[in-house]
Amino acid sequence: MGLSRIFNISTRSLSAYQQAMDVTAHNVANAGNPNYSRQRVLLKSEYPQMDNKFSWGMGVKVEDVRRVHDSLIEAQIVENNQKYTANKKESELLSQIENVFGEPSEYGLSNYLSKFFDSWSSLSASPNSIEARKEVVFASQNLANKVSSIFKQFSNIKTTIANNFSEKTTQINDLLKQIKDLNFQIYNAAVHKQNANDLEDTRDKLINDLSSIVDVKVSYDQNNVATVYIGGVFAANAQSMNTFKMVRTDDELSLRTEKGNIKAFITKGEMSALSDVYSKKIKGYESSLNTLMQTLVSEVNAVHEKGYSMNQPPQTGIAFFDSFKDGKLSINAEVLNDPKKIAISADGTSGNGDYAVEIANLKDKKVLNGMSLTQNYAELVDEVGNHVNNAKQAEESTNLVLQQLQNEKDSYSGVSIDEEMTKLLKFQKSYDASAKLIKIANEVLDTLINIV
Amino acid sequence: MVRELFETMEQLRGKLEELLGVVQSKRKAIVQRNFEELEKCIALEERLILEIKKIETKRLGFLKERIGENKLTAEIVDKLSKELAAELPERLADHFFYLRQKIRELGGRINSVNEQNMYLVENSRQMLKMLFAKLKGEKESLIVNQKV
Repeated sequence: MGLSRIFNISTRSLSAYQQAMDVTAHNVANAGNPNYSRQRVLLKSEYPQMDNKFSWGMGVKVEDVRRVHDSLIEAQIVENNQKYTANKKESELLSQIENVFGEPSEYGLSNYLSKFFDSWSSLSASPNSIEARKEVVFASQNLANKVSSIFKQFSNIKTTIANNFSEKTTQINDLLKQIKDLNFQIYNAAVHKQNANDLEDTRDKLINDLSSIVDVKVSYDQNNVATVYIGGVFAANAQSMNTFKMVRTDDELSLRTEKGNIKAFITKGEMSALSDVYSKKIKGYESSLNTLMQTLVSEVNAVHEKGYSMNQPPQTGIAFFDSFKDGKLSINAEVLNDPKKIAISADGTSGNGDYAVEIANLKDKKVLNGMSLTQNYAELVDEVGNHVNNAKQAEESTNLVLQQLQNEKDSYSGVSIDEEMTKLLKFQKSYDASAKLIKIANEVLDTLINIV
Repeated sequence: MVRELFETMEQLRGKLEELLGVVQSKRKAIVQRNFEELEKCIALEERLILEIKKIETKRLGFLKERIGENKLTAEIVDKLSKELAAELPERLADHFFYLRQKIRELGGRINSVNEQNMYLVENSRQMLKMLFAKLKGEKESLIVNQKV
Protein backbone atom coordinates (compact mmCIF):
# COMPACT_ATOMS: atom_id res chain seq x y z
CA MET A 1 0.00 0.00 0.00
CA GLY A 2 1.41 3.36 -1.03
CA LEU A 3 2.01 6.18 1.34
CA SER A 4 -0.54 8.40 -0.41
CA ARG A 5 -3.21 5.73 -0.03
CA ILE A 6 -2.50 5.42 3.71
CA PHE A 7 -2.65 9.17 3.97
CA ASN A 8 -5.98 9.26 2.15
CA ILE A 9 -7.48 6.58 4.39
CA SER A 10 -6.20 8.36 7.42
CA THR A 11 -7.58 11.71 6.29
CA ARG A 12 -10.95 10.20 5.44
CA SER A 13 -11.13 8.32 8.72
CA LEU A 14 -10.20 11.41 10.65
CA SER A 15 -12.78 13.44 8.86
CA ALA A 16 -15.40 10.80 9.62
CA TYR A 17 -14.25 10.67 13.18
CA GLN A 18 -14.38 14.43 13.57
CA GLN A 19 -17.91 14.49 12.18
CA ALA A 20 -18.90 11.78 14.65
CA MET A 21 -17.44 13.82 17.49
CA ASP A 22 -19.13 16.97 16.19
CA VAL A 23 -22.45 15.16 16.28
CA THR A 24 -21.79 14.06 19.88
CA ALA A 25 -20.90 17.63 20.82
CA HIS A 26 -24.09 18.79 19.11
CA ASN A 27 -26.07 16.17 21.04
CA VAL A 28 -24.52 17.29 24.31
CA ALA A 29 -25.03 20.96 23.57
CA ASN A 30 -28.72 20.24 23.02
CA ALA A 31 -29.17 18.01 26.05
CA GLY A 32 -31.35 20.64 27.71
CA ASN A 33 -33.44 21.23 24.60
CA PRO A 34 -36.69 19.25 24.88
CA ASN A 35 -37.41 19.58 21.18
CA TYR A 36 -34.10 18.18 20.06
CA SER A 37 -33.83 14.68 18.65
CA ARG A 38 -30.57 12.89 19.28
CA GLN A 39 -28.54 12.43 16.11
CA ARG A 40 -26.28 9.57 15.25
CA VAL A 41 -23.67 9.01 12.62
CA LEU A 42 -23.96 6.14 10.21
CA LEU A 43 -20.50 5.11 9.06
CA LYS A 44 -19.85 2.98 6.04
CA SER A 45 -16.70 1.36 4.72
CA GLU A 46 -15.36 3.05 1.63
CA TYR A 47 -15.40 0.95 -1.53
CA PRO A 48 -12.18 -1.09 -1.59
CA GLN A 49 -9.70 -0.29 -4.32
CA MET A 50 -8.56 -3.11 -6.58
CA ASP A 51 -4.85 -3.15 -7.24
CA ASN A 52 -3.68 -6.12 -9.34
CA LYS A 53 -5.03 -9.06 -7.43
CA PHE A 54 -5.45 -7.27 -4.14
CA SER A 55 -8.33 -5.40 -2.72
CA TRP A 56 -7.27 -2.52 -0.49
CA GLY A 57 -9.62 -1.24 2.21
CA MET A 58 -10.08 2.50 1.88
CA GLY A 59 -11.21 3.32 5.41
CA VAL A 60 -14.57 4.66 6.47
CA LYS A 61 -16.84 7.51 5.48
CA VAL A 62 -19.86 9.15 7.06
CA GLU A 63 -22.83 7.87 5.15
CA ASP A 64 -25.49 9.84 6.98
CA VAL A 65 -26.24 11.74 10.15
CA ARG A 66 -29.70 10.64 11.16
CA ARG A 67 -32.19 11.91 13.66
CA VAL A 68 -33.08 9.29 16.23
CA HIS A 69 -36.73 9.92 15.71
CA ASP A 70 -39.91 7.86 15.96
CA SER A 71 -42.59 9.25 13.69
CA LEU A 72 -45.24 7.10 15.35
CA ILE A 73 -44.53 8.61 18.79
CA GLU A 74 -44.29 12.05 17.19
CA ALA A 75 -47.73 11.62 15.59
CA GLN A 76 -49.21 10.43 18.88
CA ILE A 77 -47.69 13.40 20.69
CA VAL A 78 -49.26 15.77 18.17
CA GLU A 79 -52.62 14.00 18.50
CA ASN A 80 -52.59 13.99 22.32
CA ASN A 81 -51.22 17.48 22.53
CA GLN A 82 -54.28 18.67 20.62
CA LYS A 83 -56.59 16.89 23.03
CA TYR A 84 -54.66 18.02 26.07
CA THR A 85 -54.57 21.70 25.12
CA ALA A 86 -58.28 21.60 24.25
CA ASN A 87 -59.13 20.04 27.61
CA LYS A 88 -56.82 22.39 29.47
CA LYS A 89 -58.28 25.48 27.83
CA GLU A 90 -61.82 24.22 28.31
CA SER A 91 -61.18 23.48 31.98
CA GLU A 92 -59.70 26.98 32.42
CA LEU A 93 -62.64 28.71 30.71
CA LEU A 94 -65.29 26.64 32.46
CA SER A 95 -63.66 27.39 35.81
CA GLN A 96 -64.08 31.08 35.00
CA ILE A 97 -67.72 30.44 34.20
CA GLU A 98 -68.17 28.48 37.41
CA ASN A 99 -66.84 31.50 39.27
CA VAL A 100 -69.42 33.66 37.53
CA PHE A 101 -72.19 31.61 39.14
CA GLY A 102 -70.27 31.73 42.41
CA GLU A 103 -72.23 28.86 43.95
CA PRO A 104 -72.73 27.99 46.71
CA SER A 105 -72.21 31.31 48.42
CA GLU A 106 -73.96 34.33 49.81
CA TYR A 107 -73.42 36.07 46.49
CA GLY A 108 -74.71 33.27 44.31
CA LEU A 109 -77.89 33.55 42.27
CA SER A 110 -79.57 30.79 44.28
CA ASN A 111 -79.25 32.92 47.41
CA TYR A 112 -80.77 35.92 45.63
CA LEU A 113 -83.58 33.72 44.33
CA SER A 114 -84.23 32.40 47.84
CA LYS A 115 -84.20 35.91 49.27
CA PHE A 116 -86.63 36.99 46.55
CA PHE A 117 -89.14 34.24 47.43
CA ASP A 118 -88.52 34.70 51.17
CA SER A 119 -89.37 38.41 50.84
CA TRP A 120 -92.77 37.40 49.40
CA SER A 121 -93.23 34.99 52.24
CA SER A 122 -92.49 37.76 54.77
CA LEU A 123 -94.87 40.05 52.94
CA SER A 124 -97.63 37.44 53.11
CA ALA A 125 -97.32 37.59 56.91
CA SER A 126 -97.65 41.40 56.94
CA PRO A 127 -99.39 42.42 53.67
CA ASN A 128 -99.81 46.03 54.78
CA SER A 129 -96.22 46.50 55.90
CA ILE A 130 -94.50 49.08 53.71
CA GLU A 131 -91.15 47.81 54.97
CA ALA A 132 -92.00 44.27 53.86
CA ARG A 133 -93.07 45.62 50.45
CA LYS A 134 -89.84 47.60 50.17
CA GLU A 135 -88.01 44.41 51.05
CA VAL A 136 -89.70 42.65 48.11
CA VAL A 137 -88.58 45.47 45.79
CA PHE A 138 -85.08 45.39 47.25
CA ALA A 139 -84.80 41.59 46.89
CA SER A 140 -86.12 41.85 43.32
CA GLN A 141 -83.57 44.53 42.45
CA ASN A 142 -80.77 42.42 43.93
CA LEU A 143 -81.95 39.45 41.91
CA ALA A 144 -82.11 41.57 38.75
CA ASN A 145 -78.61 42.94 39.41
CA LYS A 146 -77.21 39.47 39.95
CA VAL A 147 -78.78 38.10 36.78
CA SER A 148 -77.60 41.09 34.81
CA SER A 149 -74.11 40.70 36.27
CA ILE A 150 -74.03 37.02 35.23
CA PHE A 151 -75.00 37.84 31.65
CA LYS A 152 -72.54 40.73 31.55
CA GLN A 153 -69.75 38.43 32.72
CA PHE A 154 -70.78 35.88 30.11
CA SER A 155 -70.51 38.62 27.53
CA ASN A 156 -67.08 39.65 28.87
CA ILE A 157 -65.86 36.06 28.76
CA LYS A 158 -67.14 35.76 25.20
CA THR A 159 -65.25 38.91 24.22
CA THR A 160 -62.08 37.60 25.89
CA ILE A 161 -62.53 34.29 24.10
CA ALA A 162 -63.02 36.03 20.76
CA ASN A 163 -59.88 38.14 21.34
CA ASN A 164 -57.97 34.99 22.27
CA PHE A 165 -59.31 33.26 19.16
CA SER A 166 -58.15 36.18 17.06
CA GLU A 167 -54.64 36.08 18.63
CA LYS A 168 -54.48 32.35 18.00
CA THR A 169 -55.44 32.94 14.37
CA THR A 170 -52.51 35.33 14.04
CA GLN A 171 -50.24 32.74 15.68
CA ILE A 172 -51.47 30.08 13.26
CA ASN A 173 -50.61 32.27 10.29
CA ASP A 174 -47.14 33.01 11.74
CA LEU A 175 -46.47 29.33 12.41
CA LEU A 176 -47.65 28.33 8.94
CA LYS A 177 -45.33 30.88 7.37
CA GLN A 178 -42.37 29.47 9.34
CA ILE A 179 -43.36 25.87 8.53
CA LYS A 180 -43.61 26.72 4.84
CA ASP A 181 -40.15 28.36 4.89
CA LEU A 182 -38.61 25.42 6.74
CA ASN A 183 -40.29 22.98 4.38
CA PHE A 184 -38.67 24.81 1.50
CA GLN A 185 -35.24 24.60 3.14
CA ILE A 186 -35.77 20.91 3.94
CA TYR A 187 -36.77 20.31 0.33
CA ASN A 188 -33.63 22.09 -0.90
CA ALA A 189 -31.46 20.10 1.49
CA ALA A 190 -33.03 16.85 0.29
CA VAL A 191 -32.48 17.78 -3.36
CA HIS A 192 -28.83 18.56 -2.66
CA LYS A 193 -28.46 15.47 -0.47
CA GLN A 194 -27.69 17.57 2.57
CA ASN A 195 -28.54 16.92 6.17
CA ALA A 196 -31.70 18.68 7.38
CA ASN A 197 -32.00 17.13 10.84
CA ASP A 198 -32.00 20.37 12.79
CA LEU A 199 -34.43 21.97 10.35
CA GLU A 200 -36.74 18.97 10.75
CA ASP A 201 -36.51 19.24 14.54
CA THR A 202 -37.42 22.92 14.35
CA ARG A 203 -40.28 22.24 11.95
CA ASP A 204 -41.59 19.39 14.17
CA LYS A 205 -41.60 21.76 17.11
CA LEU A 206 -43.57 24.31 15.09
CA ILE A 207 -46.07 21.63 14.04
CA ASN A 208 -46.34 20.62 17.67
CA ASP A 209 -46.95 24.25 18.63
CA LEU A 210 -49.59 24.45 15.91
CA SER A 211 -51.22 21.26 17.13
CA SER A 212 -51.61 22.78 20.57
CA ILE A 213 -53.72 25.52 18.98
CA VAL A 214 -55.77 23.75 16.36
CA ASP A 215 -56.61 20.46 14.60
CA VAL A 216 -53.58 19.50 12.59
CA LYS A 217 -53.02 16.65 10.20
CA VAL A 218 -49.64 16.25 8.56
CA SER A 219 -48.40 14.12 5.71
CA TYR A 220 -44.81 13.82 4.55
CA ASP A 221 -43.49 13.26 1.04
CA GLN A 222 -40.30 11.44 -0.01
CA ASN A 223 -38.24 14.61 0.62
CA ASN A 224 -39.70 14.83 4.12
CA VAL A 225 -41.65 17.95 3.21
CA ALA A 226 -44.67 18.23 5.49
CA THR A 227 -48.08 19.10 4.09
CA VAL A 228 -50.15 20.56 6.89
CA TYR A 229 -53.95 20.56 7.06
CA ILE A 230 -55.95 22.51 9.60
CA GLY A 231 -59.44 21.22 10.33
CA GLY A 232 -59.43 19.41 7.00
CA VAL A 233 -58.35 22.49 5.03
CA PHE A 234 -54.97 22.72 3.29
CA ALA A 235 -52.70 25.01 5.32
CA ALA A 236 -49.09 24.78 4.12
CA ASN A 237 -46.44 22.82 2.24
CA ALA A 238 -43.10 23.91 0.79
CA GLN A 239 -44.50 26.12 -1.95
CA SER A 240 -47.71 27.66 -0.68
CA MET A 241 -49.86 28.33 2.34
CA ASN A 242 -53.33 29.48 3.23
CA THR A 243 -53.85 32.48 5.49
CA PHE A 244 -56.66 32.09 8.00
CA LYS A 245 -59.04 34.61 9.55
CA MET A 246 -61.46 34.58 12.43
CA VAL A 247 -65.14 35.00 11.70
CA ARG A 248 -67.24 36.06 14.69
CA THR A 249 -70.98 36.08 15.01
CA ASP A 250 -72.94 36.19 18.22
CA ASP A 251 -73.54 32.47 17.93
CA GLU A 252 -70.26 31.20 16.62
CA LEU A 253 -66.53 31.67 16.31
CA SER A 254 -65.02 30.07 13.26
CA LEU A 255 -61.73 29.83 11.43
CA ARG A 256 -61.86 30.39 7.70
CA THR A 257 -59.38 30.83 4.89
CA GLU A 258 -58.81 34.37 3.65
CA LYS A 259 -59.08 33.08 0.10
CA GLY A 260 -62.33 31.27 -0.57
CA ASN A 261 -63.70 31.65 2.96
CA ILE A 262 -63.42 27.89 3.54
CA LYS A 263 -64.33 26.86 7.07
CA ALA A 264 -61.88 24.74 9.05
CA PHE A 265 -63.62 22.20 11.25
CA ILE A 266 -61.90 22.52 14.58
CA THR A 267 -62.37 19.68 17.02
CA LYS A 268 -59.05 19.74 18.86
CA GLY A 269 -56.49 22.17 20.23
CA GLU A 270 -57.02 25.35 22.25
CA MET A 271 -59.15 26.89 19.54
CA SER A 272 -61.64 24.05 19.70
CA ALA A 273 -62.11 24.79 23.42
CA LEU A 274 -62.47 28.50 22.69
CA SER A 275 -64.98 27.84 19.96
CA ASP A 276 -66.85 25.20 21.96
CA VAL A 277 -67.17 27.31 25.09
CA TYR A 278 -68.16 30.38 23.06
CA SER A 279 -70.57 28.75 20.64
CA LYS A 280 -72.02 25.97 22.74
CA LYS A 281 -71.32 26.04 26.46
CA ILE A 282 -71.94 29.72 27.23
CA LYS A 283 -74.81 29.77 24.76
CA GLY A 284 -76.31 26.75 26.52
CA TYR A 285 -75.94 28.30 29.98
CA GLU A 286 -77.37 31.58 28.75
CA SER A 287 -80.29 29.77 27.20
CA SER A 288 -81.02 27.81 30.40
CA LEU A 289 -80.81 30.96 32.46
CA ASN A 290 -82.98 32.80 29.96
CA THR A 291 -85.68 30.15 30.17
CA LEU A 292 -85.46 30.16 33.94
CA MET A 293 -85.78 33.92 34.22
CA GLN A 294 -88.55 34.13 31.63
CA THR A 295 -90.44 31.46 33.51
CA LEU A 296 -89.92 33.40 36.71
CA VAL A 297 -91.22 36.57 35.04
CA SER A 298 -94.27 34.88 33.55
CA GLU A 299 -95.11 32.87 36.70
CA VAL A 300 -94.72 35.84 39.06
CA ASN A 301 -96.60 38.15 36.70
CA ALA A 302 -99.39 35.59 36.22
CA VAL A 303 -100.09 35.66 39.95
CA HIS A 304 -99.33 39.34 40.48
CA GLU A 305 -101.62 40.48 37.69
CA LYS A 306 -104.52 38.68 39.41
CA GLY A 307 -103.96 40.53 42.67
CA TYR A 308 -105.03 43.93 43.94
CA SER A 309 -102.66 46.66 45.00
CA MET A 310 -102.67 48.42 48.35
CA ASN A 311 -103.18 51.93 47.02
CA GLN A 312 -106.64 53.44 46.78
CA PRO A 313 -108.54 52.59 44.83
CA PRO A 314 -106.93 49.13 44.62
CA GLN A 315 -105.64 48.32 41.15
CA THR A 316 -105.37 44.97 39.47
CA GLY A 317 -103.68 43.67 36.31
CA ILE A 318 -100.34 45.11 37.31
CA ALA A 319 -97.29 43.19 36.11
CA PHE A 320 -94.54 42.85 38.67
CA PHE A 321 -91.78 42.46 36.07
CA ASP A 322 -91.68 44.33 32.81
CA SER A 323 -89.63 41.79 30.98
CA PHE A 324 -86.54 39.71 30.85
CA LYS A 325 -84.60 40.56 27.75
CA ASP A 326 -80.93 40.39 26.78
CA GLY A 327 -79.94 39.33 30.25
CA LYS A 328 -81.77 42.22 31.85
CA LEU A 329 -84.55 41.64 34.34
CA SER A 330 -86.71 44.77 34.47
CA ILE A 331 -89.04 45.44 37.35
CA ASN A 332 -92.20 47.39 36.61
CA ALA A 333 -91.34 51.04 37.21
CA GLU A 334 -94.72 51.60 38.86
CA VAL A 335 -93.95 49.01 41.50
CA LEU A 336 -90.43 50.28 41.91
CA ASN A 337 -91.63 53.81 42.57
CA ASP A 338 -94.55 52.83 44.75
CA PRO A 339 -94.34 49.55 46.69
CA LYS A 340 -98.04 49.90 47.50
CA LYS A 341 -98.63 48.80 43.94
CA ILE A 342 -97.43 45.32 44.78
CA ALA A 343 -100.66 43.44 44.16
CA ILE A 344 -101.04 40.55 46.58
CA SER A 345 -104.60 40.88 47.75
CA ALA A 346 -106.84 38.22 46.31
CA ASP A 347 -110.08 40.12 47.01
CA GLY A 348 -108.94 43.74 47.06
CA THR A 349 -109.24 43.98 50.82
CA SER A 350 -106.47 45.40 52.88
CA GLY A 351 -104.60 42.78 54.86
CA ASN A 352 -105.05 40.01 52.31
CA GLY A 353 -101.76 38.51 51.20
CA ASP A 354 -102.93 35.36 49.44
CA TYR A 355 -101.01 36.06 46.25
CA ALA A 356 -97.86 36.80 48.18
CA VAL A 357 -98.16 33.28 49.54
CA GLU A 358 -98.73 31.98 46.04
CA ILE A 359 -95.67 33.79 44.72
CA ALA A 360 -93.60 32.61 47.68
CA ASN A 361 -94.75 29.08 46.89
CA LEU A 362 -93.37 29.39 43.37
CA LYS A 363 -90.04 28.66 44.99
CA ASP A 364 -90.95 24.99 45.24
CA LYS A 365 -93.64 24.75 42.59
CA LYS A 366 -92.73 22.56 39.64
CA VAL A 367 -93.09 25.11 36.87
CA LEU A 368 -90.30 24.19 34.47
CA ASN A 369 -89.25 20.80 33.14
CA GLY A 370 -91.08 19.12 36.02
CA MET A 371 -88.94 20.98 38.52
CA SER A 372 -89.15 24.14 40.56
CA LEU A 373 -87.23 27.27 39.52
CA THR A 374 -84.65 26.78 42.25
CA GLN A 375 -84.26 23.14 41.28
CA ASN A 376 -83.81 24.19 37.66
CA TYR A 377 -81.14 26.63 38.69
CA ALA A 378 -79.43 24.03 40.90
CA GLU A 379 -79.50 21.71 37.90
CA LEU A 380 -77.79 24.36 35.77
CA VAL A 381 -75.12 24.93 38.42
CA ASP A 382 -74.61 21.16 38.66
CA GLU A 383 -74.27 20.98 34.89
CA VAL A 384 -71.59 23.69 34.91
CA GLY A 385 -69.83 21.92 37.79
CA ASN A 386 -69.95 18.64 35.90
CA HIS A 387 -68.58 20.26 32.78
CA VAL A 388 -65.72 21.72 34.84
CA ASN A 389 -64.99 18.39 36.52
CA ASN A 390 -65.13 16.49 33.25
CA ALA A 391 -62.82 18.98 31.58
CA LYS A 392 -60.38 18.83 34.52
CA GLN A 393 -60.38 15.05 34.51
CA ALA A 394 -59.89 14.97 30.76
CA GLU A 395 -57.09 17.52 31.15
CA GLU A 396 -55.36 15.38 33.78
CA SER A 397 -55.69 12.13 31.89
CA THR A 398 -54.57 13.54 28.55
CA ASN A 399 -51.70 15.24 30.35
CA LEU A 400 -50.60 11.88 31.77
CA VAL A 401 -50.74 10.26 28.36
CA LEU A 402 -48.80 13.18 26.93
CA GLN A 403 -46.14 12.92 29.65
CA GLN A 404 -45.81 9.21 29.01
CA LEU A 405 -45.39 9.81 25.29
CA GLN A 406 -42.90 12.58 25.98
CA ASN A 407 -40.91 10.22 28.20
CA GLU A 408 -40.99 7.61 25.48
CA LYS A 409 -39.77 10.17 23.01
CA ASP A 410 -37.04 11.35 25.41
CA SER A 411 -35.84 7.83 26.09
CA TYR A 412 -35.66 7.29 22.36
CA SER A 413 -34.63 10.64 20.97
CA GLY A 414 -33.43 12.57 24.00
CA VAL A 415 -29.87 13.04 25.15
CA SER A 416 -29.00 11.62 28.55
CA ILE A 417 -26.13 13.52 30.16
CA ASP A 418 -25.42 10.64 32.55
CA GLU A 419 -25.35 8.17 29.71
CA GLU A 420 -23.02 10.37 27.71
CA MET A 421 -20.77 10.90 30.78
CA THR A 422 -20.56 7.17 31.49
CA LYS A 423 -19.81 6.52 27.84
CA LEU A 424 -17.08 9.14 27.85
CA LEU A 425 -15.49 7.77 31.03
CA LYS A 426 -15.35 4.35 29.44
CA PHE A 427 -13.83 5.84 26.34
CA GLN A 428 -11.26 7.73 28.36
CA LYS A 429 -10.16 4.52 30.03
CA SER A 430 -9.94 2.74 26.71
CA TYR A 431 -8.05 5.58 25.07
CA ASP A 432 -5.46 5.57 27.87
CA ALA A 433 -4.98 1.82 27.56
CA SER A 434 -4.82 2.16 23.81
CA ALA A 435 -2.16 4.85 23.94
CA LYS A 436 0.04 2.74 26.22
CA LEU A 437 -0.29 -0.26 23.96
CA ILE A 438 0.66 1.76 20.91
CA LYS A 439 3.86 2.87 22.64
CA ILE A 440 4.79 -0.70 23.61
CA ALA A 441 3.98 -1.99 20.14
CA ASN A 442 6.12 0.73 18.59
CA GLU A 443 9.11 -0.28 20.72
CA VAL A 444 8.74 -3.96 19.81
CA LEU A 445 8.19 -3.23 16.13
CA ASP A 446 11.08 -0.78 15.87
CA THR A 447 13.52 -3.49 17.00
CA LEU A 448 11.82 -6.03 14.81
CA ILE A 449 11.90 -3.96 11.64
CA ASN A 450 15.49 -2.91 12.19
CA ILE A 451 17.03 -6.25 13.00
CA VAL A 452 14.96 -8.81 11.21
CA MET B 1 18.93 -23.99 14.44
CA VAL B 2 18.12 -22.41 11.09
CA ARG B 3 14.91 -24.41 11.05
CA GLU B 4 14.00 -23.02 14.51
CA LEU B 5 14.75 -19.52 13.28
CA PHE B 6 12.47 -20.11 10.30
CA GLU B 7 9.71 -21.29 12.63
CA THR B 8 9.96 -18.22 14.87
CA MET B 9 9.90 -15.97 11.80
CA GLU B 10 6.83 -17.78 10.45
CA GLN B 11 5.17 -17.41 13.85
CA LEU B 12 6.10 -13.74 13.89
CA ARG B 13 4.58 -13.20 10.47
CA GLY B 14 1.34 -14.86 11.57
CA LYS B 15 1.10 -12.83 14.75
CA LEU B 16 1.95 -9.60 12.96
CA GLU B 17 -0.77 -10.25 10.39
CA GLU B 18 -3.20 -10.81 13.26
CA LEU B 19 -2.00 -7.66 14.98
CA LEU B 20 -2.44 -5.63 11.79
CA GLY B 21 -6.06 -6.79 11.59
CA VAL B 22 -6.60 -5.85 15.23
CA VAL B 23 -5.13 -2.35 15.00
CA GLN B 24 -7.19 -1.70 11.87
CA SER B 25 -10.33 -2.83 13.72
CA LYS B 26 -9.28 -0.62 16.59
CA ARG B 27 -9.07 2.38 14.27
CA LYS B 28 -12.58 1.68 13.08
CA ALA B 29 -13.81 1.24 16.66
CA ILE B 30 -12.31 4.59 17.72
CA VAL B 31 -13.83 6.36 14.75
CA GLN B 32 -17.21 4.77 15.30
CA ARG B 33 -16.95 5.27 19.07
CA ASN B 34 -17.82 1.62 19.41
CA PHE B 35 -16.77 1.06 22.97
CA GLU B 36 -17.38 -2.71 23.07
CA GLU B 37 -15.37 -3.25 19.91
CA LEU B 38 -12.58 -1.02 21.20
CA GLU B 39 -12.36 -3.02 24.43
CA LYS B 40 -12.20 -6.27 22.46
CA CYS B 41 -9.45 -4.88 20.25
CA ILE B 42 -7.42 -3.69 23.23
CA ALA B 43 -7.63 -7.12 24.90
CA LEU B 44 -6.57 -8.85 21.66
CA GLU B 45 -3.79 -6.34 21.06
CA GLU B 46 -2.43 -6.88 24.57
CA ARG B 47 -2.35 -10.65 24.08
CA LEU B 48 -0.75 -10.41 20.64
CA ILE B 49 1.95 -7.95 21.74
CA LEU B 50 2.82 -10.25 24.61
CA GLU B 51 3.06 -13.23 22.25
CA ILE B 52 5.09 -11.25 19.71
CA LYS B 53 7.47 -10.18 22.49
CA LYS B 54 7.98 -13.82 23.51
CA ILE B 55 8.62 -14.98 19.93
CA GLU B 56 10.90 -12.02 19.34
CA THR B 57 12.95 -12.83 22.48
CA LYS B 58 13.29 -16.38 21.18
CA ARG B 59 14.36 -15.17 17.71
CA LEU B 60 16.89 -12.73 19.11
CA GLY B 61 18.18 -15.57 21.34
CA PHE B 62 18.93 -17.70 18.23
CA LEU B 63 20.68 -14.83 16.52
CA LYS B 64 22.80 -14.01 19.56
CA GLU B 65 23.72 -17.66 19.99
CA ARG B 66 24.73 -17.91 16.32
CA ILE B 67 26.88 -14.78 16.41
CA GLY B 68 28.17 -15.37 19.91
CA GLU B 69 27.55 -11.77 20.86
CA ASN B 70 25.04 -10.20 23.14
CA LYS B 71 24.65 -6.98 21.22
CA LEU B 72 22.81 -7.03 17.93
CA THR B 73 22.84 -4.28 15.34
CA ALA B 74 21.08 -3.95 12.01
CA GLU B 75 24.36 -4.42 10.15
CA ILE B 76 25.33 -7.54 12.10
CA VAL B 77 21.92 -9.13 11.64
CA ASP B 78 21.89 -8.24 7.95
CA LYS B 79 25.29 -9.80 7.45
CA LEU B 80 24.25 -12.88 9.41
CA SER B 81 21.08 -13.22 7.34
CA LYS B 82 23.09 -13.30 4.14
CA GLU B 83 25.40 -15.94 5.62
CA LEU B 84 22.43 -18.04 6.67
CA ALA B 85 20.83 -17.72 3.25
CA ALA B 86 24.00 -18.88 1.58
CA GLU B 87 23.87 -22.04 3.67
CA LEU B 88 20.34 -22.78 2.62
CA PRO B 89 19.00 -24.40 -0.54
CA GLU B 90 17.83 -21.76 -3.03
CA ARG B 91 14.10 -22.32 -2.44
CA LEU B 92 14.48 -21.93 1.33
CA ALA B 93 16.79 -18.95 0.91
CA ASP B 94 14.12 -17.19 -1.18
CA HIS B 95 11.53 -17.92 1.47
CA PHE B 96 13.87 -16.67 4.17
CA PHE B 97 14.27 -13.34 2.36
CA TYR B 98 10.54 -13.24 1.69
CA LEU B 99 9.84 -13.71 5.42
CA ARG B 100 12.22 -10.90 6.35
CA GLN B 101 10.59 -8.63 3.79
CA LYS B 102 7.09 -9.60 4.90
CA ILE B 103 7.88 -8.99 8.58
CA ARG B 104 9.32 -5.57 7.74
CA GLU B 105 6.26 -4.74 5.62
CA LEU B 106 3.80 -5.89 8.29
CA GLY B 107 5.70 -4.01 10.99
CA GLY B 108 5.63 -0.88 8.82
CA ARG B 109 1.92 -1.16 8.17
CA ILE B 110 1.19 -1.74 11.85
CA ASN B 111 3.30 1.28 12.74
CA SER B 112 1.45 3.37 10.21
CA VAL B 113 -2.00 2.37 11.50
CA ASN B 114 -0.73 2.86 15.05
CA GLU B 115 0.32 6.38 14.16
CA GLN B 116 -3.20 7.09 12.94
CA ASN B 117 -4.63 5.45 16.05
CA MET B 118 -2.37 7.53 18.27
CA TYR B 119 -3.54 10.65 16.48
CA LEU B 120 -7.16 9.59 16.89
CA VAL B 121 -6.60 8.76 20.55
CA GLU B 122 -4.93 12.09 21.25
CA ASN B 123 -7.72 13.96 19.53
CA SER B 124 -10.31 11.87 21.32
CA ARG B 125 -8.71 12.76 24.63
CA GLN B 126 -8.85 16.45 23.72
CA MET B 127 -12.44 16.04 22.66
CA LEU B 128 -13.24 14.19 25.87
CA LYS B 129 -11.75 16.99 27.87
CA MET B 130 -14.00 19.44 26.09
CA LEU B 131 -17.06 17.21 26.39
CA PHE B 132 -16.46 16.64 30.10
CA ALA B 133 -16.32 20.38 30.67
CA LYS B 134 -19.45 20.82 28.59
CA LEU B 135 -21.29 18.00 30.32
CA LYS B 136 -20.30 19.23 33.73
CA GLY B 137 -21.66 22.64 32.85
CA GLU B 138 -24.86 21.16 31.43
CA LYS B 139 -25.35 18.97 34.45
CA GLU B 140 -24.86 21.84 36.85
CA SER B 141 -27.22 24.05 34.92
CA LEU B 142 -29.77 21.25 34.86
CA ILE B 143 -29.49 20.89 38.62
CA VAL B 144 -29.81 24.63 39.10
CA ASN B 145 -32.89 24.68 36.90
CA GLN B 146 -34.58 21.86 38.78
CA LYS B 147 -37.85 22.76 40.47
CA VAL B 148 -37.62 22.18 44.23
